[in-house]
Amino acid sequence: MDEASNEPLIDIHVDDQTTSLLKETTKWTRFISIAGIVGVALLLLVILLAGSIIANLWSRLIPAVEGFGNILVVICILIAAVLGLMVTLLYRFSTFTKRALDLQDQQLFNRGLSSLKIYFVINGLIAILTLLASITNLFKI
Amino acid sequence: MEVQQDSIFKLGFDENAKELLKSLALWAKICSVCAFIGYGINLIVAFLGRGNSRLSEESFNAVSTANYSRAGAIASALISAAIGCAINYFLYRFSIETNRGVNNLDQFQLNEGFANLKTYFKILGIILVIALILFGLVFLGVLASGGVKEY
Repeated sequence: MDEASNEPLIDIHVDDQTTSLLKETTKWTRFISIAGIVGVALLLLVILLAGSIIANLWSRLIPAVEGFGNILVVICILIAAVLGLMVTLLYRFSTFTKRALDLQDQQLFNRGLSSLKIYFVINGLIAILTLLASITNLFKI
Repeated sequence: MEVQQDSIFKLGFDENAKELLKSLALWAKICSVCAFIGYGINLIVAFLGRGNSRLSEESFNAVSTANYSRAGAIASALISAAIGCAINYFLYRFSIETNRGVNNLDQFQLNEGFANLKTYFKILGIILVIALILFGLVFLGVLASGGVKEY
C-alpha cells in the first residue's frame, strides 16, 4: 500500500536567502552580546570595587534615602544580572543558529530560536514595565 | 511502496520551530508597540511637563534656566524618539512579516521578516559601536585633562 506523506506540498524552509540573512544576523548579535558581556562584567567590577562609595554618594545627593544606599547597590546588581541574562541569551542564539546552519542541525536551530524567544520575552517585559513608568510619569504632569 | 519526499533543504521549520517563530513574533510586536507608545508619552511629558514649573519661577535667570532645561528635555526626547522609532520599526516589520510568513507558509514573507530582524540588530550594533567610540573619546579626554592638570 502506498503511504502518502502528510507534509504539505508548500512549506517554509531555511533556503539560501534565509541562511545568508540568519548568518549576517548572528554576526551582529554575536558582536552585541560580546560587547554586552564585557559591559556587564565592567559594571559588576565597578559595583564590587566602588559599591560603598556609590552608596555614600547616593546618600549625600539625596539625604532622604540615607541608610538605603545599599539598596541602590542591590538594584545595580539586579540590573546587571538581568542584562547578563539577556546578553547570554543573545550569545546562545548566535552560537546555536550559526552552528545549526553550518551543520544543518534542526535541534540546534530550534534551540537558537528558543534563546531568541526568551530574549524577546525579557525585552518585552522590560518594555511593558518602562511603558507603565512612562504612563505614571504622564499622570504626574 | 513508500513515497519519499526528501527536501533539498535539510534544515526547515518543523512544528516546534513554527511555534517558536510565532511566539517570537508576538513578543517582538509587544516590544515594538510598547516602545512606540512609550516614545509618544515621553514626547508629551517633555512638551507639557516643564510648562508649569516655568510659570512658577520669578526671576528672569530662573525662567531662562528653566527654558534651557525644557529645551534640552524636548531635544533629548525628540532624538531618542527618532532613533528608537527607526529601530523599532524594523522589529515591528519583523513581527508582522514573520507571523504572516509562518501562517501562510510564505517563504518570501518569512525571508522579508528575517531581513528586518537583521536590519534591527545591525542598527543596534552600529549604535553600540558609536556609543563605544564616544565613551572611549570621553575616557581619553578625562585622562588627558587629568594629565594636563598634573603637569
